[in-house]
Amino acid sequence: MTPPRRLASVPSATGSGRPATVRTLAPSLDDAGLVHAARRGDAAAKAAIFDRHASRVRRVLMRLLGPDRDLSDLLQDVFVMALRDIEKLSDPAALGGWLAGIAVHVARHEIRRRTRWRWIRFLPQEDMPDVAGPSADAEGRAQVRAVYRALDALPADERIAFALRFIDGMELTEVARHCDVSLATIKRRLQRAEAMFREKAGRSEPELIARLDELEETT
Amino acid sequence: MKPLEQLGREVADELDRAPEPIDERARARAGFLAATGTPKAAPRWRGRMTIVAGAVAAAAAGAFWFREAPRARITTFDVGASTVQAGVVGRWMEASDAELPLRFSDGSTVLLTQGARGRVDGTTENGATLSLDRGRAVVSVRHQPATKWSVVAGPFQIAVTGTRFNVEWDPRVEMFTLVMEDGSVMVSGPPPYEAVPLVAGQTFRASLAKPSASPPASDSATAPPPPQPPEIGGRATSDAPATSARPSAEEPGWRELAQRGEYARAIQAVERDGTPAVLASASASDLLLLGDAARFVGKTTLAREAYAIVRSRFPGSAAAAQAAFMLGRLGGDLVWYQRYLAEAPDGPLAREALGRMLELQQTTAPSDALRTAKRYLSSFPSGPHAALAKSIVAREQGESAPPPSSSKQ
Repeated sequence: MTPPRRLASVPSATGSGRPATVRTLAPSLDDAGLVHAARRGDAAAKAAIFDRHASRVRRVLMRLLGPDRDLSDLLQDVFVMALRDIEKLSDPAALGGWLAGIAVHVARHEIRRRTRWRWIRFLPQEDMPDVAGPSADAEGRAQVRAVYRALDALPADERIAFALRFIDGMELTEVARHCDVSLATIKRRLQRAEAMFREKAGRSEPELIARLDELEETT
Repeated sequence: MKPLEQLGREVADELDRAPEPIDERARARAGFLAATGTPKAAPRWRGRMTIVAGAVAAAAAGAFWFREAPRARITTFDVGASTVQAGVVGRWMEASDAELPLRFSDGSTVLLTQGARGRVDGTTENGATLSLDRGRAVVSVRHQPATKWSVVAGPFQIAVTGTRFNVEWDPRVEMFTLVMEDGSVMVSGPPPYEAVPLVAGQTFRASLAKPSASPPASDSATAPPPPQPPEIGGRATSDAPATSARPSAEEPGWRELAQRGEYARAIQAVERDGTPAVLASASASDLLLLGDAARFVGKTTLAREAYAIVRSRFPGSAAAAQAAFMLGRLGGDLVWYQRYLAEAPDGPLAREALGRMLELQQTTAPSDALRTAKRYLSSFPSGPHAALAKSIVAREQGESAPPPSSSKQ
């Protein structure tokens, strides 16, 4: 049998100044088990939930927001919100999907907040963090930046739907579920999003339009 | 596939290839654990508006913020020396020209020294959670029954009940310093810096860039035992960052450039400093960073060299295992992924290594692919390669019953 894995220690909950006990948790504990343990206040279970699901949550955030300097903070927000509302999770085995839903919610809130505060200009597009790939594909990186510049012009709901469908590759039903709307509504929203994206790209992202034209020809 | 779907897939592929910033996840994890360790923790809705935006805008922003994210904000605070204004939870504050004091309603104070950047992440009836993004802060927490403060500096977290200390985080060289003046705290950070109690008179220093020989220094004879660092080779290093990695006053060093994502300039700086000298003096984490920067600008020979040096100079370390993975990624070489898994079977890249092995084996070694697929599904049933693994297992099971010899492991 595999011995329990040593998890990262956390400070004493009592803040007594004494060394915290390093808790152990069976590595085979499934999501439902972790949720139940976290509901009991088990700090090691909270840490394990983060460790297990941070990659997926980060990917959802990244695809919704693009390269973003605040990703670390938003990642933290998702898990804090999840732990705050963990009693509301009706199916503990569905923890992963539930966290992805919270990531969508956090991203939507962030997009709306930035839109409202655009007059202060939080993050000039020129400062958008670059992405880098093993291929050192400057063209690919430029394309990513152009896509998110165009997406910046979309309202939050349309942007979320667009990113989930076209960038994350979700099925329409999944997109509808994550956006908490009907299938018919999400189809209409995607139509609007697509039109707005093309319109914005047509105005200010000629390379993006050229790439779309190329893809039109090959499909 | 629709053109937009194809475009989206290209974007997703590019995003997936992007390296995760070095301490991004560690910071999020530390902040999450700090926040959920307190009752009624609430996510931080934050902004990037600087103090320069002015008092009027700040006041308006504050009102807006609280309408948008109502929270149990029991401890309040003021900011500023000559001009005092109400502090806003979640807003970054920079002590750009002079020290910036923060005064809390429970009698605690925080002084952001010149150049420091921090914010109050949240407040409760018993204290607050602070983040120090860079620079030094002088923290004085007034002890009361149930006082509970937390300070997150880089990937380190300090749990406070009532004390006075100086804390500093330098993201350029990933150096954390905590100088205790009074009381006691508990510090925890990424492995190997697990929970360490500190008392007055002690100093804790930790360099993520050079963890192999950066035990916490002490101003007293009663220093706590140093955190046991991971085995990152036997090379002794000093607390000071590598010369090659230290940015000069006039021009940022290669390391800072690489961390900012300016990989081409970083590599130019390495070449200017002398590539052999940089390679010879860099720490394990610096070598990994250099390897990544070289990889991103297509200098694969330099990247391979950096990763190979990590393996030769720091054998058996987590960094060496990571270097093995990167070498596998550079050349699509199965052997390196296998080495990574042998050295770090539960490592953070284990899932990716197994998945990439699966991709390579499915065409070159189907019987190995089946074994890898089963292992993948056993360890990562919901992983990104789970569908591929399932298809390999299903194909194998559908096509034929396993021959007698296949039962032998």
